[in-house]
Amino acid sequence: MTFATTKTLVVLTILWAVALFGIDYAKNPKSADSIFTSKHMGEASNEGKPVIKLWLNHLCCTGCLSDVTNALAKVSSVKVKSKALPTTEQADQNEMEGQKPKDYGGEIELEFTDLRMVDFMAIERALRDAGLVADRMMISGLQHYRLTAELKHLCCGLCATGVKEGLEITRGLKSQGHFKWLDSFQVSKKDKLVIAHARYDATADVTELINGLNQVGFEPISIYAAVDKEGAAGADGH
Amino acid sequence: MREILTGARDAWRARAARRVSVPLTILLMLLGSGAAFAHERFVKHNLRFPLKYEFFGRWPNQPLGLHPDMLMIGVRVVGILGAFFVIWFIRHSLTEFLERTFLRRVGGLIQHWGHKLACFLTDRPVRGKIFHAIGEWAVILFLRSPGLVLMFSATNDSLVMPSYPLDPASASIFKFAQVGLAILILTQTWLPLCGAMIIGTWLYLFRWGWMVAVDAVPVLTVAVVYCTSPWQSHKLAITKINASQMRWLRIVLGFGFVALGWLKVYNHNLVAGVADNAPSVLNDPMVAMLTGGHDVSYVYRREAWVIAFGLAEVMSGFMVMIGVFTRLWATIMAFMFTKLMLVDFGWDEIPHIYPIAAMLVVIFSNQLTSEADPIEKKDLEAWRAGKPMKRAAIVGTTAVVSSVLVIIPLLYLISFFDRSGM
Repeated sequence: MTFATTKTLVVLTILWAVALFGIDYAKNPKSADSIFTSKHMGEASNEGKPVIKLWLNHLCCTGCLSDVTNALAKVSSVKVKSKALPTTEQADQNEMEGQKPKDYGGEIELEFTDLRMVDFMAIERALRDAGLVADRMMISGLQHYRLTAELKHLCCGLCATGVKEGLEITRGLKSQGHFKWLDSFQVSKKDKLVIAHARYDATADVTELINGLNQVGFEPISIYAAVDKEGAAGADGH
Repeated sequence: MREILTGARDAWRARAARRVSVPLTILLMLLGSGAAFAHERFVKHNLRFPLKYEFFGRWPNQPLGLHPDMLMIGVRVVGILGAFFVIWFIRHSLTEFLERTFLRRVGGLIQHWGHKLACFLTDRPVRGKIFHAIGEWAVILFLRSPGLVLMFSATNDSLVMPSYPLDPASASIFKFAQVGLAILILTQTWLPLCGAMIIGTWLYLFRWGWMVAVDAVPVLTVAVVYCTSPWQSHKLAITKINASQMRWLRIVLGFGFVALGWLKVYNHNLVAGVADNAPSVLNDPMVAMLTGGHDVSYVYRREAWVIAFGLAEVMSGFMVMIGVFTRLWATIMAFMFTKLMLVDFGWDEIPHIYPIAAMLVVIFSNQLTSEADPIEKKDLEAWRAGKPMKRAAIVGTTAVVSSVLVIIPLLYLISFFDRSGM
């Protein structure tokens, strides 16, 4: 039997640590002096500002984008960020020439001034009214935050239990890649709220929450994102 | 006359109740202090109500400039540590006395099991097939459980523990690296390399801040065994940990919890946030004993609880680290972790399989030593030389000095740091 010498162990340890630092640096290039400063997820990508992005399974040309923009114009708290897409004419031309895009879908980013005013259900409804639908509504760039869904119907304790038990399935769905952003949720019968706490710095998919609630038989009136600050989140999420 | 008799009877009942309740309370404190080792990383810890930060700061007109309650909690912990030290030094005389005066008279099975219990509690070797078998199994579990935790973390987009989320940009590489390491661990291949990789990963955690690295110190425990295993580990059935390995395992494990305890005192928002999200932990018997059992309306109830909570962990970690009643403290900690995992926090605490396995290895080991052995040797010499005063001086000085040094200086120093913005 041979054992590792102290020298070997020290060398291996240093090599492994350097490799991890190296991978981290290669993937998130930063100045050398910031290597040992405390790292917080998301800071490098968006400087801690919240970002809302929608993924539509169909967004092939400027015509589609124009409809999305017009639809979301009804939601005063958000504005669609401009995006480079083929024009309608180019899309027609491509279609005639048999040049199909690899993916018909596309992502758009929403501009907003106050996250607290952004109602995700209003976005969802506006898009559906225009004959479109967002496959994913993603919010990122926040560390501690929650999504608060207001329900119109939550008349009794059984309703609250039903929502809670129904949403418990999200735990199982995590292994399949769904609800990976979800840390925990609370149901407040008194305030008719479902509060979904996101994992630290995670990108939450609001559509998953809407679908989850729909699945258990409820349609939210509104869904807002709120940043969890010290002392800000009460027992019922207020 | 009747009133006097009634009063006397009530007083006697109260005394009897106290006599019964003292050992009962101690037992409850030992078995029911679930919160003392709560692992806030995996559970929600957002503060719901701001803490009263002045409690943790300087109080110029008070002894040591600490809030009287904070100092009192510190003094209580010092008292408990000191008492355990004294009992440790006289444990052989105590058990011999009990065995001679009580167990020998009873005889039979009670004497047999009583002797085993005495051996167990005083860290002496325990003979028995079942004890031996559980010990072997615990070693296997301990050596392999980090593989399961790494796999679990990889599937949760985390590094080492689910509370450390991976950066999306490098997540894939780190996840594959973790799975690779987990495979090496689970197949017991190149354990020295696994040890080096675990220590290297721990060093990398400083990238995420020193508090994260301190939080992960207990992870290093298993690296001690890996690094001291042979390269051909895959060909061996490792079911025993020798005395030298056990000593370092105990020291690293205990130190990890001492560090975690002080981190809780330092980073009070985190631990108070756990209590806000799981208020039942505020009703912990051991912590209640350390705080003096404040009323619900007490203005600094949460703040005092935070200090007591952290110091309870420092106390138990320190005892394991120096090897004083190691089995007893490790049993309490294993019980707590199991309770937290199965009862209080559920699935989120599943990585606690690892510290539980580490505790089991310590509990069922017959290779336990103590850092207090040299002092005990001097104590023994004084006893044999018939110098009771010298003996009392050795035991008393060790108990008082060690207990005070472990708690008071750091408690004093930490109060100078403003942690309100953490």
